[in-house]
Amino acid sequence: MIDCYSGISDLSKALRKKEISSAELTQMYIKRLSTLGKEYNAVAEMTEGTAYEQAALADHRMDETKNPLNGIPYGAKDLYATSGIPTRWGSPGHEDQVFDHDATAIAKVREAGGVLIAKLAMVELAGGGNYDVANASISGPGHCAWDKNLWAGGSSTGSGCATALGAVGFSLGSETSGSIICPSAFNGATGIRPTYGRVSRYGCMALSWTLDKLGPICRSAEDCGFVLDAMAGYDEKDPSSIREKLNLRRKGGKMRIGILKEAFEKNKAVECEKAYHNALDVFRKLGHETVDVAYPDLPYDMAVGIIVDAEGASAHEHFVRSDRLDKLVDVNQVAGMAAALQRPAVDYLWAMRMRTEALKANAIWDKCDCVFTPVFYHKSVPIEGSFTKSFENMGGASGPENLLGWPACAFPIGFEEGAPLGANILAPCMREDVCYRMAMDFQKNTDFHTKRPVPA
Amino acid sequence: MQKISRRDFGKKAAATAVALAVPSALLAQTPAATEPDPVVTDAECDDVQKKLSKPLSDDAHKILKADLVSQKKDTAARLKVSLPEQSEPCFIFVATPKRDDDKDRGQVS
Repeated sequence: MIDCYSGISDLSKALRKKEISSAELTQMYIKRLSTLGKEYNAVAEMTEGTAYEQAALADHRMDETKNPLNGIPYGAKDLYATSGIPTRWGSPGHEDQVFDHDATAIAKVREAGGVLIAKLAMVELAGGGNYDVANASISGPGHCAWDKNLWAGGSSTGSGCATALGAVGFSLGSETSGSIICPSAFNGATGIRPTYGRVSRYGCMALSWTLDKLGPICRSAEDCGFVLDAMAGYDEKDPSSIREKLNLRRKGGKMRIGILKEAFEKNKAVECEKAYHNALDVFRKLGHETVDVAYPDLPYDMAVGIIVDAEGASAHEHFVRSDRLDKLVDVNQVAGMAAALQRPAVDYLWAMRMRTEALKANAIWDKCDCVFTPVFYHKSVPIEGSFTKSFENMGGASGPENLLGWPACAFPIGFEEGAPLGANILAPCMREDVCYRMAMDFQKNTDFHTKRPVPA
Repeated sequence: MQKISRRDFGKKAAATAVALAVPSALLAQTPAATEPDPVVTDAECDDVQKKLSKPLSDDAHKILKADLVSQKKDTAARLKVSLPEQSEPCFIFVATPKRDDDKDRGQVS
């Protein structure tokens, strides 16, 4: 018996057996998203009109295609261009923005049979101006699926929340440096940040051309695999897209899991430490080994910050110079976008040279096949108040993963005061299969990803 | 965990939302806490303001000034990080040859 929390595999089987039609499934998720999803500020724009057309087409071709996404309703972060449907990038300054084309990823998921039921809420301009409050979005503050007093994370806010609420079959997010991993962790969802270039960025809002990645947020690693299969691939419209074929189900032996020096005690992360060690035990029981590793000491974060400033300022320069800048909700965003115009070119070029140096961190893969580390040391932060204060003690890894385009899979490993704790597996570039396999192994042997938040 | 500034948080969490600890090497290279903040003059803020269509609000102006201070701190910090003299930025301009179907154009027969 399927329900709104069912995995893609089960939903697909039910569709094929004609136990339910895509139109009915679409109706179920639209109802849930337009009520519960809106209540949690997870929705940017419902797309009922085109959704039912796509569902009808999916039902029509059900016997012709084997793609597991055929007929499955989904939502996309509101920075994916969708022809004829508003794409506001979470920004009141882009309220009237409608593109006449689809992002490549949207076109690929549609080709696979996915049914777009909504554009999902996000932090305005993916937070490029340095937001400091949960309210930094045209959609309002995104509530965590597990506790409305907590934030859903960002910047793929609605993608994380709506997925965890069972209000979409799956969702698409994006990440410059944390925006898939964070909302996945805060909402107890599973998200894959693919290798840089694995998914075409064409048609998606640029915050940083050299850091932006697109990927799925789902309720399991298995679901992420189905969605990433559809999204990935070379695209001549994106010069950074890669030609190497994605093979998530590549066979492999036992893994050497790299363990970083974590700061649980310093950050009073008692629950996270327990959950993390329990998760390691699960991996060890499956035969995987652990090995201590460390990244070269380099200012990775500062390089990321400078790159985002400079590339974001360039990508959004016309907007920043326009009379719409002050429409942004968060005054920190207004000031931050303006300040970024002053970022010196020599700073940016230094950051890109630092990035060359950071490639030395790839030496870690001589010692291990993947790294396992908490996304944060605590559950999500309060939805009210300044993040500057609330993110103290959240900790987390401070590595080269985004700078070097490494893939990751974030998934739930436990709870703290009733809200999810997430960890992620990082792997070398092009090795999403390692992230996928490890997360699959973990989820076959635990049930954290099957837990449902209260509204369910 | 050390207290992070709003701007620093922004770098770690804004686009991003991953709160990160600063690597120890960077901490060692960052100007000591006792060093005074770099000075940002009103003229420097005005330079930004001149690029904008509308005057910033008082709140935004204050944050802008803090952000410019933060940028100067970044510059000071990065200058203390040694990079190999011959290192190049992590992007390459690739000269694109003429397309094959162009090769005969311009040739005098």
